[in-house]
Amino acid sequence: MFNIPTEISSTIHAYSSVAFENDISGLQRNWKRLQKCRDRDGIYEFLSEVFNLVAWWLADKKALRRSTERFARQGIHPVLDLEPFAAAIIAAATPTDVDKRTVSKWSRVLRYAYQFKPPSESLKKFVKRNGGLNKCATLYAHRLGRLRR
Amino acid sequence: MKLRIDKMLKFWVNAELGTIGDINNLEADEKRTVRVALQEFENQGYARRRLDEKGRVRWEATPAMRKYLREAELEASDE
Repeated sequence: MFNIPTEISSTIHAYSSVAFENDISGLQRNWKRLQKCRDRDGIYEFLSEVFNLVAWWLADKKALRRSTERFARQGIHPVLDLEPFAAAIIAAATPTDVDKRTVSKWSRVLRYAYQFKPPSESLKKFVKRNGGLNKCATLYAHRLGRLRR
Repeated sequence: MKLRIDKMLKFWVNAELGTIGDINNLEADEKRTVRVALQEFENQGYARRRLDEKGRVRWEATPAMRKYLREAELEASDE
């Protein structure tokens, strides 16, 4: 079924560009499903996929660096440490355009969840428990973003 | 670093490499072979890395692998 190479690679465990492309393709399929879906909770499935992917990049600094470089080559420039959330959303939606304010809102929701969501709780449950997407984006701005006091 | 692998992927790693028992009790060379196998699965779109319920990196089977196995099971039951 699968071809396991007998030659031992010196870059074992590196996050390859093929693996990166596979992950982004998965997000793109999820984005397309979201566009066709009329279920108002469909967004949580897509955002969970983005969250789960980027959360492991953030846990593995080398994977994060490689992903950031690949996004830069595609013309998507994450600017801050946690901006890969926005970059992943934009890459998932390519070639369609997503409204910048929507990307920003979803990215804030995911960054807020990254800071405060217990790993065992689903993103959907966490966001709903905190008042929904808009409320979580606002909470991010108040607790972690530019409105932080 | 300890390797964490979900049940389905572990089954396929075992199937490909022969029964290997507890992955974290392997000799260094064997462990290296498991890592190569995992990366190859990853490159083929059958494995991915995500965080587990405790926030630790874990290898898991992708939806593509799950679909492949579901279809294989259906084919087997038809025969």
